[in-house]
Formats: sequence, structure tokens, C-alpha cells
Amino acid sequence: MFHLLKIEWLKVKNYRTFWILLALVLISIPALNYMIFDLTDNSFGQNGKQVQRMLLGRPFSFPLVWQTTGWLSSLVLFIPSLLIITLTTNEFTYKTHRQNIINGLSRVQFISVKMVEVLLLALLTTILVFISAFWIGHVAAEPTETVRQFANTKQLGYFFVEALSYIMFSFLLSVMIKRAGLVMGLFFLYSMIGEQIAVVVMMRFANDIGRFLPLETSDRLILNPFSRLISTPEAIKKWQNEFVFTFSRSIAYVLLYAFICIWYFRKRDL
Amino acid sequence: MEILSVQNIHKSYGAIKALKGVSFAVPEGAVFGILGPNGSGKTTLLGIVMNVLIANGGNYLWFGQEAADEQRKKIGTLLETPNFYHYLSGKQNLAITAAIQGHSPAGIDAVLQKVNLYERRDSRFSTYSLGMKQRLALAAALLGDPSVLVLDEPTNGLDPVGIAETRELIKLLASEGKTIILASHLLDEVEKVCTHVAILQRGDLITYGHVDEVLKNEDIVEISASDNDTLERIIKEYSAQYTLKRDGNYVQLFFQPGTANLDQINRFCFERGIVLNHLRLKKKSLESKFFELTHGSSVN
Repeated sequence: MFHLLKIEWLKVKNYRTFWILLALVLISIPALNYMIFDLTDNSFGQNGKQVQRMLLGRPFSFPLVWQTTGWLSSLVLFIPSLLIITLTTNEFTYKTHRQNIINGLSRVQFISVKMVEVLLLALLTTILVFISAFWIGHVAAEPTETVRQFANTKQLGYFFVEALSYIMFSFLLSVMIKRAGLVMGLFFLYSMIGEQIAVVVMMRFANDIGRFLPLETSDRLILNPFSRLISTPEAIKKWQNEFVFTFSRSIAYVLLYAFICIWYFRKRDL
Repeated sequence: MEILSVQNIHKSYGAIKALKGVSFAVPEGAVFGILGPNGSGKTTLLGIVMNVLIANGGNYLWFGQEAADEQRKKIGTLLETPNFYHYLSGKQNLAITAAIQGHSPAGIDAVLQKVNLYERRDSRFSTYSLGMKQRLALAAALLGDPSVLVLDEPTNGLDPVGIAETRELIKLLASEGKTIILASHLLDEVEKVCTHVAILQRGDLITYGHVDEVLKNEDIVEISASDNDTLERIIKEYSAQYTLKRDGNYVQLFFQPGTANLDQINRFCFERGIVLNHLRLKKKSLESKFFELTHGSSVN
């Protein structure tokens, strides 16, 4: 596998688009989190701290900061997805996937090294969430209080699964559809609009079966930390009760995507 | 040993049958031409044996063994269009090929020189002309000095000099004992370089074998003099072992293979007071043979 990753490295190391998208991934997560932190922390002015805490709680303080950054960062998972879509559809556009196979890679090797890249990217975003949370958590801490900084870090694990599911979903679309523009269009349409509407509609009219949809499933791994005023204790209870089921469903989706990708790529004309 | 043996390969694209049970074997050291018009199934066939297409039926063996991914690393292949990363230079692209095949990148410069692309090695692939792209694909196929080459329309997009160079290169490689499988719709390309030929038409293998056997033909002696009518009258007395035809400014004499003797014909005419201003031995061209073969089959 290391050898295969080395080949992938040769493909991207002189590819400017790769570095630009990677830089966006690296910047987006800390930047978004700090921006929101700054917004919530300073919008209420010096004398508004009490109001702020009443309305929002302290989402950026330990231990809640792990959940907050995880939840916020999931909003920019489309950027690493974009990177994977670009790298994967490039191969189809330039027909280099054919050339790689002709030169002696097996079909399974070709597809599995790409999935390892998805894994690495999910890992990278998780590390970025860790850094962001650790940093902002310390900035947000009161000088006098003692913080339990590593409590609640299980949220990082949830984020990792969510990132994996999200990026893997974009990879699946790339493998099945192949054309960059079409994949990106469908991905954004579905993830940002289609599924959101479906979930809201089903929540109202269909006993919330929207929770079984692929991206919504992993979206529900991390509870909205800003919903103190919106979400009731019952909602939190419901999240806790369903968590094991949600988590296993998320994992099942990732495995299903991987299975479909391998199966599809092995059986098809390239 | 047989380098490649193809057994009863079938391939359909929906209702279209691209290959209808093709079988043949490529012996070691052969320059094996796969000849057929556009759409006859040449690229499909090569795609199948290189594992980028999946056959609907049939089987193929490389080096006498069941197909395996490792085998392709020992085969230099140029299939259809040059497929490279547009944003990388020629050299960077070949580094990927070398890494996949497990060759040292040290051989890259040498193959680039061989195809006259060394000067442009650091330019991006997207800036290459069609001919340069084709040269790079040829360089990729030559990387690691493989003993077997699969070349699909290798002279596609090349200028006349490039075409001649490529043919010389193929002949050179063949003289080094390499086995070359060459698909082409250019008849004279196959005629000029191949030892064996398989003729495909609409997915059917019409015939295959040694070039001399498949294209077994009459010797054609083409002659002319200042007065062709007299020549025609005189030459009829030469021998009964040929048939005669007038073709424009020439008189053509058709002999059984190997029986035409130009010396005798020349002397015969000269002794009867006719000076030839044109005397040439023509093998019947592959083109006419090809049309004969494919036409015959399409009528059936």
C-alpha cells in the first residue's frame, strides 16, 4: 500500500489544484471555528457576557468545544470532498485510470488506494478539528477556572466517522458518474439542498425517516451545540437513545460505499 | 512459446457485437499485425487482453498462463489514445509509469531521447502536439525495455518523418527479438513491418497466420515500352505460364509466386527489338488482398 501511495504522490505533488484545495482544507476548519467563536464572543459587547451565556451557553469552552468545533467543521466537509472528486474524476477525464491498469495496477489496487486517500483526508480533517478545538478552548477559558480539556474528546471520533462518510459519499459519486462537473453539481445539489429538504419534509410528514438518508445519518452523530434554546432535554435524550443505532448505521454506510465502489470498478469496462 | 493466445473471445456493447469469437496465437518473436478497418474490433480486442475491458466470453493467456496483473508490468503498451496527466510534464508522467511497473526512473531520459522528445521533457503534456503525445505514449511503452510490446495505431497523428522513424524503431525492436503486437488500419504499415497478420472485420477474424501465407500471391511484372501494343503482341510469345493485363501505360504479367524472371523477360524483349523503358516486380499489394478477403466475407 505504501508503494501505491507513493504513485499517488507522484500524481499530485506537481498539481497546483491539489495544493490549492488542500490549503483550503487546512485553512477552512480553524478559520471557520475561530470566526464563529469570535462572532459569538464579541457580539454582545463587554457588558453582554451574561446575556450571551444565557442565550448560547459557552459552546467554545471545554468540554463543549469538542462538540462545537466538530459540528461546525462538518459544514465545510464539502471542501475535502471537492478534493477527492477532483482527483478521482481527473483519472476518468484523462483516461489515466485505464493507463494505470494497462501498466500493471490491479483494478482493486487502483480503487483501494483512492479509498485510503479518503481515509487519510478524513484523518487530516479530524486532526484539524482537534487543533482548532484545543486552541479555541484555551482562548475561551477564563483565567481563573480549571479546565478538563480532554473530557468529551469522543466527539472527535464522531467527527471522524462523519467526515469519512461524507467524503466517501463524494468518492462513490465520482466512481459511478465519472464526469467532474456532473459529480460536483449532483453532490452539492444533494448534500446542501436535496437531502436537507427531504429530511425536513419527512420530519413533518413521515415519522422522521429522513434520518436514514446517507448524509443525514452521520450528521446526527454530533448534536447541534447552539441549540440550547431550540432543543429540549427530550431532544437530547432522543439523541442519546438513538446514538448507538446512528453510529452503526454511519459505519454501515461507509462500508456499503466501499463495497459498491470496489464491486463496480471490478466489473465494468473502463 | 506463445506470448499471447486468445481463445474464442466475445464482446458486445449492447446490441452491437464487437467481437464474435476471435481466436489466435502470437508466437514469440513475431511482429504480429492485427489489421482491420475502423470499428473492426482491434482496440476492443487489445483492451480485453490488457484488462481494461471485460469480455462477455472466451479466454486469453499471456506467456502461456492465466491472465494476471503482474504480467502487464512486463508488457509495453500503447492503447488507442495517449492517456497522461495533462498537468504534468512528459518526464513526470513517465515517472508514474515507471513507478507502477517497478522500473527505475533512471531509464526515462533514454526512452525520451529514443522518441525525440527529450528537449521537451519538462513541458506539460497539455502543451504537446498530437504527434508529441503519441511519441510520449511510445516512450512509455518502451520504458523498462519490455520483451513484449502492444502497439495500437502507433503512427497515429505522426508526421511522415515520425511515421518512418516509428516503423524503423519497430523493425529495430523486432530485430532485437522482441514480440510486437501491432494493430493498424494502415495496410502498408502492416505489410512493411509484420511477420504475422490477423485480419479482423466487424468482429470476425477472417484469417490469420504468417504474412507470406495469408498474403500468398502472384508476382506481378509491370513493363512498358514506347509502343505498348507491339510489346503486348511480342510478349505473348514469351511463356504460357502467366496471364496478361493492360493497366494504363503498363503491361502487367501475372506469374505464380517466385516464377517471374526479370532478366529473361528483359532479354526476351530486347532480342525481339523492343527496349523496355519500365520493368518492375510488384508483389500484389496487401491492400488488394485485404479488400479481396474482407469483401469476400461480407458477401457471405
